[in-house]
Amino acid sequence: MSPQLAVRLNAVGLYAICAVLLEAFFYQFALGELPCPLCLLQRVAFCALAVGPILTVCHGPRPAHYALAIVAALVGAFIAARQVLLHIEPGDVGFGSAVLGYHLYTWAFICFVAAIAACAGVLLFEGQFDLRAARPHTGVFERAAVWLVVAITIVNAGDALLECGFTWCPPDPADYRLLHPEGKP
Amino acid sequence: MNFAVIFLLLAATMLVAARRDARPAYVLFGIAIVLTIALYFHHATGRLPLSF
Repeated sequence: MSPQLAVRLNAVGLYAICAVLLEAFFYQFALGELPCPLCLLQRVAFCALAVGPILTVCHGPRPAHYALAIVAALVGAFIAARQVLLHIEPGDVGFGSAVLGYHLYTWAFICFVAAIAACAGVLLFEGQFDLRAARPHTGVFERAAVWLVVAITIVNAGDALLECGFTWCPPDPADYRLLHPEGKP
Repeated sequence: MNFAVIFLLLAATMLVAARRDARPAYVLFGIAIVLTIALYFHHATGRLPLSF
C-alpha cells in the first residue's frame, strides 16, 4: 500500500465517522431522542477516533497514528459494551429507537470493533510507512474530511452544553437544560 | 458542561494535529482520553434505577 492510498483510506474513515455522528444528530433533532451520558461518551469516543486519521492525512502514515485510533476505539467499545449490558435483561426495551433491529449503542459497539479491525488490517501493509517515499498529497477530498469532522465536533460541544447546561448531565435527559433550566414549561 | 469541555478539547486536538507538529496532539489526545475515562467512571458509579 502506498502512502498516498493510506491517506485516502484515512480520509474515507473520517467521512465514515462524520456519517455516524450526523446520524446521531438526526435521531436527536428529527426524532427528539436526547442522548444519555453514555451516548454522549460514545460520541466523544467517535471524535477521539478521528484524531489518528487526521494526523495521517496531515502528516503522512505512521504506526503511532493507528495506535491512537485503536486506543479511542477500545475506550468507545468499552463504553458501548457497558450500555449494551445495562439493557441485556429480557423484557428491557433499551434506550432510544432501534435501527435494523439494533439500538444505536449496539451499532456503536460494532463500529468501534470494526475500526479496530480496520486499523489492524491497514497496519499489515508496511509499504505506507516507507520514509523514502514522497510526502503524500493532501487534496480537497482529504482536507474537506478533516474540516468536516472538526466542525461536527464543535457542534457536538454546543449541543452538549445545550443539553446539560453548566452542571452534570442527567442520567435520563428529558429536555435541554440550557433552554429550560426548570424542566419542561 | 463536562462533555462540552471534552468535545472542545478534542476539537483543539484535531486543529493542532492538522496544523502543527504531531507531538502536542498526542499530549492533548491523552488528556482527552483520561478525562473521558474519568467521566465514564463518574456516570458508571452512579445509582442505577433498576427494579428487581
